[in-house]
Amino acid sequence: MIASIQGLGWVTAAGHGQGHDSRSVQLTAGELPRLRGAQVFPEGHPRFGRLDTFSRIGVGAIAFAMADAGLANWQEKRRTGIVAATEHGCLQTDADYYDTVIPNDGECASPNLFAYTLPNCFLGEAALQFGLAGPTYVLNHRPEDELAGLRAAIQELHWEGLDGILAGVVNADGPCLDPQPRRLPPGAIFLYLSPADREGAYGTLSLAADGTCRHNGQIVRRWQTLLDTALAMRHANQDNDR
Amino acid sequence: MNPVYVTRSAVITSFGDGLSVLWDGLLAGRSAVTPVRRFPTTHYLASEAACIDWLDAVPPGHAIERLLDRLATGFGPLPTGTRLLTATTKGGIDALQDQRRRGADADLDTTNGNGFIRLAERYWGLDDPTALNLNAACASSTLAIARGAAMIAHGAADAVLVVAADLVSEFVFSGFSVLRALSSNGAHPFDRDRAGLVLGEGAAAVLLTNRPLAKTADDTPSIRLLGWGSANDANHVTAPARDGCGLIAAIRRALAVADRTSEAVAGISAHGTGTVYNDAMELTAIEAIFGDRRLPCHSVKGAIGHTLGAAGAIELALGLRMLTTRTVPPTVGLSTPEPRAEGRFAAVAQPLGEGCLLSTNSGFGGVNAALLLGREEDV
Repeated sequence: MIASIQGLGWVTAAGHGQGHDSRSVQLTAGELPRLRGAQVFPEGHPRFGRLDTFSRIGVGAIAFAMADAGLANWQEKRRTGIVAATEHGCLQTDADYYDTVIPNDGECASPNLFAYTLPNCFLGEAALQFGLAGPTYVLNHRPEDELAGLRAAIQELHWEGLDGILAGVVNADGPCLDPQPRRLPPGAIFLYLSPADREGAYGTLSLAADGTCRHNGQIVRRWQTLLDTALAMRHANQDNDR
Repeated sequence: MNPVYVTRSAVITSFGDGLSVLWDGLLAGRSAVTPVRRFPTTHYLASEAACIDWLDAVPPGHAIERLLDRLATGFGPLPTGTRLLTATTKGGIDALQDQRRRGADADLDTTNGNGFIRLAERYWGLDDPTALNLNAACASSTLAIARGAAMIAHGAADAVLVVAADLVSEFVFSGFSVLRALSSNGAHPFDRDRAGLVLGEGAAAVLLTNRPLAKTADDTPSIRLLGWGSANDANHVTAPARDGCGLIAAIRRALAVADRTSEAVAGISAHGTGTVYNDAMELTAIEAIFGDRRLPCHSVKGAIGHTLGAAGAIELALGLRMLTTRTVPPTVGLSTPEPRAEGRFAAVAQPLGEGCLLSTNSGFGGVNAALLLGREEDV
């Protein structure tokens, strides 16, 4: 199975952005930037400021990837899916929500926080923002297999005959998460993948029957490696065009 | 595509262990909804839920593992190389509750999907490095079953075990209460006077296999999973799309995968939470797909509550019995069907004609999913 990488967006401790205007992205430890709605949606977004951190970085990275792929604007809903991998999901939001339940046995529970205690809810935000009407779900996998979510997304793209799919990873930060074991630092990264009949600015991903994932023929097992090689290809092409 | 068989299943609901007690309870028109004992409900809209009574005595943080341990007991050996998919919305959320209340260190492993996978691996004796946990709100296990079916259909697996469970917790109860989604007098799916949902807890395991493994298993492999589909409403984060667009798309996709038209569907196991908007949306989708046809339809949630991420797997297991007995059980809690539900949903059992059974679920985040089941001899 082959997929073209059309767009790349991220929010990490090192900053936020999209592939066409940045030559590197670093998945580094540190505090995540507190994105404002205007940084993600120039025309504004009515709920962005109320989103929890998990949702904010997830929606932000998806928005950047969609813009990078030139697909931010739409007229009709698209059969595009989203598969987001996470290690601890919205655990910090869960803790923040339950802290509003404890006083007075739930009398002051926060409806806004509760809505985001399902880790897939931010996918609904992204879906309505960009008209994405394909399958959407969050998944967990063994942490050492960093690209398991990406493989699942490539399979969904082909098995479900989708126009495209956003494949990514989202991990929030926060005091409840700090003691938890984690493989990846906090941050969100999304790739927009399309079937291989469209040329991808960032090259192609192939998935072998044994699960081996290759980017432009080279085996990749880690997100950072994939990001580095994808961005290198994108900017080599841009430089050649000049 | 390779044919996909539903080879084996196990369920635990508030009626007890196994499908037979659930089936008998439904046919008797009984509800397993009782007053909640495990946390105070003074400040909530409701005071009842469909709880598994023995879980009340389990220490905080251990309910989900006890539930899976019991579910796995007697399930039987799995085919070599069985892959694992799990589904839960909040897993062992009681551990987080305990940690926040006591302010002490606590093992939060089972509150995330990886911990849930590890529990399932432990109790079913699996070691699958490719195991995934899917979270798609109240359609989580429906999507996991759909993915498992796709894996078999496309030759990526020979057998897939789907394990799903969710608990009645103060965490979720308070949330649905503050969103004003809970009914204070029981769930009445598709009733004219429905006023909200009732929460439930439960677990289910479903073994999907290809044809050779289905034929060699001890069980009678008579039910096939013919089609599956999923779509997002792209409309609202917590409310269903009033035009049913996502559910309609999911059903159409399931029919397309099965290479069938809507005429092949003989009955429907609906999501049917009992909220005003969910049930109205489902009826809109049913009318869009089936027109004026009055198919026998059913919702289980008036009897066992809304079991969240486990709902799809429990309802699939129930669908096996519906197809085997050619019976659609009563919709417990239904008294006076709303006009569009008349002739479809009933408070009594209805015969299920020859053809397929459609099972659907929808959830927060705009998620919709549909499964199409059929008896081998009808295929």
